[in-house]
Amino acid sequence: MPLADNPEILRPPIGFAVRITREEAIDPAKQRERLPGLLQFVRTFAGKLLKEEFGTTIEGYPEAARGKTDELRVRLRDQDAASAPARQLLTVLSDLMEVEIEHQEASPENDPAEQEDFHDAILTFIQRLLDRFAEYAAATDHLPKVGKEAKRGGAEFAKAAARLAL
Amino acid sequence: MTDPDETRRAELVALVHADYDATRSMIDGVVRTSIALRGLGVTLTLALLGYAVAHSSFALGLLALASTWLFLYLDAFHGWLYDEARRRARSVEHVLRLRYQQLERGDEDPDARRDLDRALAAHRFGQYLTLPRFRWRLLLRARPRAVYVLVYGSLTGLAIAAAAYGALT
Repeated sequence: MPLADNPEILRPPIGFAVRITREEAIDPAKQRERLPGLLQFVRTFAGKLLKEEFGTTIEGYPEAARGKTDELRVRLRDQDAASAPARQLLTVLSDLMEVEIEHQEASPENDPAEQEDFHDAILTFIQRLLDRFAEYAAATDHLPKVGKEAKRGGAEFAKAAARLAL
Repeated sequence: MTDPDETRRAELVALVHADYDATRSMIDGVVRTSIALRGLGVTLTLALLGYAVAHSSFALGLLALASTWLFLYLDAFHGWLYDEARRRARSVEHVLRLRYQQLERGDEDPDARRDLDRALAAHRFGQYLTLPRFRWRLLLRARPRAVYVLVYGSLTGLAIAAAAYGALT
C-alpha cells in the first residue's frame, strides 16, 4: 500500500520551522535544544515510508533500520534510473539514523562541541530529507499534496536553519 | 582524463589518514602510560599505607596521601591527553567517513562531495599543533572519570584513615 497523500505526516518539522521563522525574537541556543525532538519524527516517518513505499518493515531502530535502509538502496541500484530519487531519499534517511546511533554512543557528559555538531547535523539532514522527499514525491504520481508540502517545508526549514545558525 | 579536483581531494584525504595514524599512536601511548602510572601509583601508595598502619605512623599516612594526589595528577594529565586525542580521532574519522560515503554513494548522494570538501577545508591538520595548552581546569575533562573516583577516591580515604590512626595511637 503506497503512502497516503496526507501532508500531516510532515507537520512536526514544518511546524518547528514555521514557529522559528515567524517569531520576531527567538533564543537560537534554546531553540536548538529542541532539535533532537525531531528525531522522533524521523523514526515515525522512516518506518511509514519504508513500509508503505518500499515494502520494508524495520524493527530495531536506529541500528537495524539503518542496515535495512542501505540494503534497500543497493537493491534499488539494480533497477532502472527512475529509482534515483528514491535512492537519494534513502541516503539521507540513513544519515539521520546514523546521527541517532552516534548520539547514543557519544560521551554521556554534555560536551558542548559534540552537542553543537549533533544539532548542526539534525538541521542539515532534516532540510535534506524535506528537499529529497519533495523530489521523490514529484517523481511518483500518488503524492502530489505531500510533495508540495515537502517543498514548502524545505524552504521554511532553510530559513529556520539560517536563523538558528550560531 | 583524471579530474583535478578528485586528485586534490584524494591527496588531502591521504594527509587526513596520516593525521589519523598520528592520533592513534598518541592514544596508544597515552593509554599505555596511564595504565603503567596507575599500577605504580596504587602499588606504592598501598605499600606506604601498609607501613603507616604497621608502624602507627602519621607521617607515612600523610606521605601516602601526597603520593595518591601526585599519581592522581599524573594519571589525570594523561586522561586529559586521552580525551583530546579521542575527540581528534572522532573528528578525523568523520572526514574519512564522508570520503567513504562519497565513494560508496556516488550520485545517490548529490551532497556527498560538497560535504567532504567542506570537512576537508575545515580540518585542522596536525595532532600536536592542535593540542590546546595545558591548564589546570582541563584536568576536569580527564577520562575515564569513574576510574579516578573509584581508585584515587578509595586511596585518599584509606590514606586519611591511616594518618588518623597514626595520630591517635
